[in-house]
Amino acid sequence: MPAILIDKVTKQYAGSTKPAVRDLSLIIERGEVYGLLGHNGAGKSTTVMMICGLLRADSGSLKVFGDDPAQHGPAVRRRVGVATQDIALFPSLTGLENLQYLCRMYGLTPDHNKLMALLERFGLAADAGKRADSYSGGMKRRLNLIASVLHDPELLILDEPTAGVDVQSRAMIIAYLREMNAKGMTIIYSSHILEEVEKLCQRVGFLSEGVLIEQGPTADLLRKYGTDSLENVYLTVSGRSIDV
Amino acid sequence: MKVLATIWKEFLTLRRDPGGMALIFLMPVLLVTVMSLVEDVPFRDYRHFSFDIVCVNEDHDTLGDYIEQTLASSGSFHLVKEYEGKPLTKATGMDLVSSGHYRAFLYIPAHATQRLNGKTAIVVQSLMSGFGIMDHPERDTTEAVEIKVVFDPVIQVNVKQSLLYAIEKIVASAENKVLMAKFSEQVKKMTGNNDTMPRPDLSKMIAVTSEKSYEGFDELAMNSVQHNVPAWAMFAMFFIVFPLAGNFIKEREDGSLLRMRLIAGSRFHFIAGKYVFHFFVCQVQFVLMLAVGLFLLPLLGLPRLVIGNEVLHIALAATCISLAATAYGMAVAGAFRTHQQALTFGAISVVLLAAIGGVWVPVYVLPHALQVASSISPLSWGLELCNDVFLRHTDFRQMLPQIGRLLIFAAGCLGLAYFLHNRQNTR
Repeated sequence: MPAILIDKVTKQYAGSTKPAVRDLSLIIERGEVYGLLGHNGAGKSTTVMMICGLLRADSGSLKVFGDDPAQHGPAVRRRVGVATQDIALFPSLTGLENLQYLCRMYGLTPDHNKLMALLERFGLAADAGKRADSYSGGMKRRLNLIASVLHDPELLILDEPTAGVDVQSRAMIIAYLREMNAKGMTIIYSSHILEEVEKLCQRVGFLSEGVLIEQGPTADLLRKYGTDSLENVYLTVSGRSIDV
Repeated sequence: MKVLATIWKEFLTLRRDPGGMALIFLMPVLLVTVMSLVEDVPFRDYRHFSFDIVCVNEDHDTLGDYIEQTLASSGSFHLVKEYEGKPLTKATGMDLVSSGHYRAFLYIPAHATQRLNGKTAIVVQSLMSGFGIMDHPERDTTEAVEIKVVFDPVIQVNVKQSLLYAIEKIVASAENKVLMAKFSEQVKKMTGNNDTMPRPDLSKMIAVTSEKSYEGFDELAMNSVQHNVPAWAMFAMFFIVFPLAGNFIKEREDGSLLRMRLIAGSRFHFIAGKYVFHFFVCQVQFVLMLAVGLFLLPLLGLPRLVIGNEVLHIALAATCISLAATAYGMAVAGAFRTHQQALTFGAISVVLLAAIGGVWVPVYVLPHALQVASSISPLSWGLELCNDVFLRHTDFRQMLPQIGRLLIFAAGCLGLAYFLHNRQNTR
């Protein structure tokens, strides 16, 4: 059973003249790192929201680990972690308090040692007692990622996890994702930085105007379009400049 | 567990926000203190109200002295007879009022007593002639005694009416006394009886008394504190819409609410935790406001708030009001997308509900249409519930209508909030 099975899914928002996602079919295998790319408004967020059961598809079928998220949203969300592009933290709580609170909301008892180990892993242990709103952009991004994996999800969805972060933070995040993937975690990765996607993702899919216009193994796509960068592949298939 | 975690999170968030703390707790305390002080005078019983009246008494006789003494001894008026060390005249008295130095001028003309006596003698003679025991009086050519009261145009109508009423009452009393004196004088002359005739006290023929509608308190009257403390407590509690909706929308905008939606089974607990926390904030506000009325305002020379003896009834009232206020905040938070929309609507709606709910002035002095409108204001229900408990000493059964209204309102708002928040979840 694949991690995600999407079959001819269409979703149109009320009041909109065209679908946000149209006839989308996609299979993501367990343990895969899949790069979901596309310009703003291409349908990436809508797809992610449907995978998590926060939006209901108008037609087609969507399964996450065999469950329909629209029917079994909570069951699906227990197995999925999402690091949104927004830093979805509580600014007046400290880094550690944020994680402790989110653990409780996941229904877990906060394990101080485990949380400190995670903070240590991301270079935040020394600042664990500082308020999150005093963190730098990179620190917030790292904390945001930790907050998404507290419940040990089988599927991790990352939307611009390295946006606006320094080189050190980016390296930490990428290394961590490789490590988690090696342990079997399925990852859907969306980023403006296509070099990162190239290095990390085994397969990529390009969304444009809600339609999956191209997908395949990263190496195959590079070969197919006779280029050495995903950026060129994207420009060729979408016929537009990079505006992910 | 999740609800408790959210309550703790909200507590930490509020504790680390001095501005928010001041808005929620300090501002209402200042508000109730200032409003009670400011509105103290209009609420005062005029027996305890000392009002300066410029008085020129050119009569210097029984009537003028009687009016002066009675006004001065009432405690409600202070007679100003001199200005800058000089005795006042009719012209200077008028000037002092027309220039705005004083609000009222009382002028008792010369020979007022003499004229009153003359007119009274004619009245008595006229009465006795009706019984055939005296000749008809000559035609009355005496001018009427004209006591003038001049008011500054800025004086409030109710103060003006109270002053006029007091003077008319004193004059009527003086007329009665002179009339009875003349009457007995004539009777003595006719009967040759030099014994002092008994003089009936006309003022005691009809007694109008007021009684308390319940037993239990020695002295109780609606005053500034008794109105303002519960009224502004209602206002402050419903103003929870401001921090609650603001906090909610901020968390929605920065993605924290989305994270809660992404955590399985946490959204309800998250919302419930927020509701419960802000409910307790309202409870603390209520207790704080009562404490201001009980301990702070008396130190500032205002009456002490009377809250009755039924602690359970007070707790029940506070609970129902807090449930309604917090639910209203939840509904507003769910109804609007942006901070600006929610806070503008929340603030204006609470001010409007407060206005028609009798927070500024009691509902019974509002125009009829607004009195009808007040019946839809939850602040009015809350205020009535407080008055029931604090003043009317009602039992639980009599509290039920207001409790019912508040709980139905709370349930309606929570239902609406649930629908609105849920609508964002799965579209």
